[in-house]
Amino acid sequence: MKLQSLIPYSFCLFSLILTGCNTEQDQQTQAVFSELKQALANQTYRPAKVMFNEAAYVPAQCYTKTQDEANNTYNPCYVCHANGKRPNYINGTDLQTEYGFTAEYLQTNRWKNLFRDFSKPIAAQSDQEITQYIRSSNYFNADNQITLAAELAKPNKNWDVNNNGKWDGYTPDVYFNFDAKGFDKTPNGQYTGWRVFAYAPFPGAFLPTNGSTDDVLIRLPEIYRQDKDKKFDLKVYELNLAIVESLLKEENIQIPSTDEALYQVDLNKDGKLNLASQIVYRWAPKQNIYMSYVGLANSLFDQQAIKMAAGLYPEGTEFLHTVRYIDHNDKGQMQMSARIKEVRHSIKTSWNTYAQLQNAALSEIKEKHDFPERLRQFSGNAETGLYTGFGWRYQGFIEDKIGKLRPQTYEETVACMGCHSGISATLDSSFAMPRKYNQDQFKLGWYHWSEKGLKALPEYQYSDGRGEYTTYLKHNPWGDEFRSNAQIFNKFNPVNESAKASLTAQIKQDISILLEPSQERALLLNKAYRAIVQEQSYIWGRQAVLNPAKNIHQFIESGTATGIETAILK
Amino acid sequence: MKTTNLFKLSLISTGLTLALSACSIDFGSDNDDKKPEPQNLTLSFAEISVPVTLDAQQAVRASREVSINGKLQTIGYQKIMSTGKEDTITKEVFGLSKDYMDQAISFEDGSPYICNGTNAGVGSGLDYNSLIQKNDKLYMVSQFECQIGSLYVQEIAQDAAGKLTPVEGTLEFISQKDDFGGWVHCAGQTTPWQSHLGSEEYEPPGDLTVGDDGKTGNFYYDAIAPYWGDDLTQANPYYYGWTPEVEINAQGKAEFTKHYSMGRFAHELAYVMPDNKTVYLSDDGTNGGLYMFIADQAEDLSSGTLYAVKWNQTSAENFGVADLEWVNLGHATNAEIKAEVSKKLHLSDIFDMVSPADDASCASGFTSINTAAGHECIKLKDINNDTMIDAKDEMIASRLETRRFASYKGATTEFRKEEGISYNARDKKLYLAMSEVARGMENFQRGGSDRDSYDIGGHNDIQVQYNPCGVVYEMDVSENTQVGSMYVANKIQTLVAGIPKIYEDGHEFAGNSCDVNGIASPDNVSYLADSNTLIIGEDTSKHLNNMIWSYDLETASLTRIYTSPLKAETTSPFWYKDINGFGYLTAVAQHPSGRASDMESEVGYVGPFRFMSNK
Repeated sequence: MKLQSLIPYSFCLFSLILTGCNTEQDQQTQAVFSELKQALANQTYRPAKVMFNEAAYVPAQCYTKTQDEANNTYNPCYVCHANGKRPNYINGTDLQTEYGFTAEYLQTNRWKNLFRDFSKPIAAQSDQEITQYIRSSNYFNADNQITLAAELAKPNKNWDVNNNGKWDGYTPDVYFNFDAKGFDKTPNGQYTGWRVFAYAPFPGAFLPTNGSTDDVLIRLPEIYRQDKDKKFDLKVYELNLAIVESLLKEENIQIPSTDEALYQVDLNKDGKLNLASQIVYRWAPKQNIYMSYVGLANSLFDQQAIKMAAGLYPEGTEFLHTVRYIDHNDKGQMQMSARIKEVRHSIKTSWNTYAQLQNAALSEIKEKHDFPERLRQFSGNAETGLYTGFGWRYQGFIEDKIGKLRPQTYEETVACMGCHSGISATLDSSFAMPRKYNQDQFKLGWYHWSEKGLKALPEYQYSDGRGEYTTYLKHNPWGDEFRSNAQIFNKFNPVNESAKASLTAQIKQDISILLEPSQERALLLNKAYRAIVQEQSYIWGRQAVLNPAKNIHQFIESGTATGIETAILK
Repeated sequence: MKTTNLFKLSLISTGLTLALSACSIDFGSDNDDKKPEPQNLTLSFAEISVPVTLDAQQAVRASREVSINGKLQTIGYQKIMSTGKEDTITKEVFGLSKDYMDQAISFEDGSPYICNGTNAGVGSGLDYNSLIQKNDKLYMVSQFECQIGSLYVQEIAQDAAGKLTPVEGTLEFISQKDDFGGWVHCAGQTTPWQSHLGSEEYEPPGDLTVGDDGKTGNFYYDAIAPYWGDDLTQANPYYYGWTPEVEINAQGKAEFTKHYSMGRFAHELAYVMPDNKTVYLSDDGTNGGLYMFIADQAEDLSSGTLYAVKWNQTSAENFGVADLEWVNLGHATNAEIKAEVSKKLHLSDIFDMVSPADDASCASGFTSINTAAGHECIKLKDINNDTMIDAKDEMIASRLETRRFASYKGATTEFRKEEGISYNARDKKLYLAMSEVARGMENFQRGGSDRDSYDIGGHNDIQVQYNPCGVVYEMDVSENTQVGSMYVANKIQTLVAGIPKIYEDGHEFAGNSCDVNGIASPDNVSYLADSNTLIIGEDTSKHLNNMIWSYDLETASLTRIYTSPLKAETTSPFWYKDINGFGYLTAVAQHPSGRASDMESEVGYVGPFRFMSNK
């Protein structure tokens, strides 16, 4: 079936289904809608017996065409598929050079929305309408309560997979009400445990210019927030977060001046209990060199009740990630929308040692060899979340057709799994913390984008001095995996070499010039995404599409060379 | 073998319930030492339904009753021990890998290299255990499926009711350092002479070279580095992919040998026939061969002649009927081959290779083969540098590059995922599980669609219909004087095949793509001597829940006796008919869960059965 021939789009899905479209819709369009209707009818919150896309964990980006008609080769692959940093033992360099869809099923790209023409529904929304839409919150109600939390207190029957009358998954409890250090508080002033931080967005689809803004918060379990007497102590929590950051980045982390004697821990590793201005990273258990938490967690670590290792979060760590529309303030500066596209939550449910993580990574290679046709399976369900098998559980909420947040279905949740397990780019399954700003940046990086945006944030530099985004642009001048972002391509690829060098230098100082879309583009992206919301066609892809994608395979035979001769290891 | 999931209900809790109810059974006092005469056993298990509700799908469910020659017995699952268990007296840790100096290996975080997956159930671990009766004791030899695969021996106590428990103070690590260490130990067998015969699966390719970065770039193979003190130049791919054997000597010590004489490929299982000389060897993966080894002397696998099967198809019906011919790959001894392995050869030392021409032909002097490595043009080299390309070079190639050499000699290398083997002496039938009938076994197809890559340039001996649900084949066995064995398979046909089936959306079995009343992706098979019963385990994604079946050879019917939790592999079932009067169906459960912190794989058994009390 040639998808492109089916594409003539009509933005009248619901009227079509209910009443039939009164415009001249051809049968092919109707076929698309009836297929979608059928696929949506099968959506369930239980471990799905029938999924539209049984390989929903393989994102659309994996089907990118790496070569254009003139045989120029692009490599957007390396940011996800290179050599993992231990304890991520996944090595995906082969996926840069070859489409490795060993299962026949995977050769077909089922992310149909990418190939569809959304121009009519985009045109059908006025700027004012979309702006109003994205500025109205679907997270808080008029009383500033979390709408979803109220709904989940009495969950819809479909969501209640185990049928016990209550919601057993994550209930959103972030108020986006931050103190000066980025700690979140309830309206009555209690700390929720969540802390927000600023990070360099991951190259590719997650750059705001490619469709969405987002923010990330972290929360450690209570024992990391308490002193040795099990009392909440914000300073203890702040230090433990810095220690976690140090362990993840394997570098020293600047902290406000701290009297080590209060905690009886040599944070700066100078052999004395004195004033420390940084957490010094020095960890080599095989040489008996350890780091330690402070407060209650310090005692528990001494009792070997909790574990600690470079590159790993404490058991029970949670992340909250909201994905939003792209708004602009009155001054024309980009900001996150009040409306939330998705609330994504993850929790580390089990501690796994390096030995276990390596075992798991290697066994995936053998599994692929032994059972090439076998697709990945995930335990769990949409109510409690799905398990990656690497120690984390994922769950999400997404807009329903009128824009209210609802739990994701099983298949929609599976779509989270591929990026959070099985690729080399993550560290302990997630992206943001190793990319967190710190040291010389505003508030050591502990702030929300609403307080300060991307403006003037410096580009992340590799150890050899190359900039991360400019390196990405070198290998993929369009800045998105589908080579569709004309704004980036036109702006950052001048013929004139000195102009290019100047842009490279500018990005180094201020990533916003690359990462932020124009207002016009932002409006289009918002409208395109909302068209998907209105259809609820997330299982066909949730990437905002302004034009039917040309640079992506609808079908690609496994083993086909990408044309990328040498894998990039970053 | 591997598993990818959490069990919602623990095997232990199931086992406990059953063990309690088992207390009411009259076990009798049949403790005489005389072995009863072989008798026909007719087993009939209580059938377990297909799990439909979520609770049932997430649980371990096993038959609790079996009728043996008309007498009802209650059976249950019982754990023997878990990975990671430390023996408080010997201080050995079950599943801990050690290096070339037999020193425990640990990772940078200080974690011991214990072969076990994540606490969320992903990874490789314990794969097979043999129960060995020797020195008037019962021993268990266990093997682990990691790159650096360990072997452990443990004494087992058997109480009056037949319950098996580990004896504290007896867990010992079995050194493999005199044979380069162990690699990805897969399935195994307790040989008739009471030794443990294992298998090193997924042999690393012989064309790896250690680069300037100290790695070969083959990520899976490079994980062997910690064994060699992180120096891969100390290692060689030809060190791995063999058949190990562990014998318990008169002093109760384990003695380890690698049988280089039996060839190198993706050993799934080596299975000894009743003459104690004839051994069948299955080759896991795509485009593999099927091999037979005839030892020079009974109970001694250190020298002998290796054969590879040639499938001479007589019918394509029902996934094929073929006369089997055995291609002689030559004679070798462990010592001869070990000497060559020690030279750290490279594939290019063994064969000259050129790319096939556009029309798939090979240049003059080169032989066209198609094996797991695909289509290749190869020419044997003067491997031992004695200026002649002769039988000595053939001997080396036949063992180091067995699969390529078999194809080179005209044998069939088109099997897809051969798994378990079991012999039925009563009916002279040898059973072989084929996880799926696919790829090379099809005729220039893959999954029923045209595709030449698995047959091009090869012999295309097998030309049968695709069956993603797999087949258990049955081979007729008879004397072959030319080979010099009473147990040579001469004909193969289907015993029982899985049935592809589409369950429509909304059907209670929707999500299964093989008929739930038939097998899917058969893995281990185990025949209970003198009985009507062949046990078939699954390792499938075609059934929502993996199942274990009892196949009644007389009525040709299947009884479902066990279903594993969603996405969890079935445990590997193996029969022990008579251990001091008790029968056991041993099983390995990988990552039983429902327990937050105790997720290690474990070995246990279903039983005890009383086969001998039915006389």
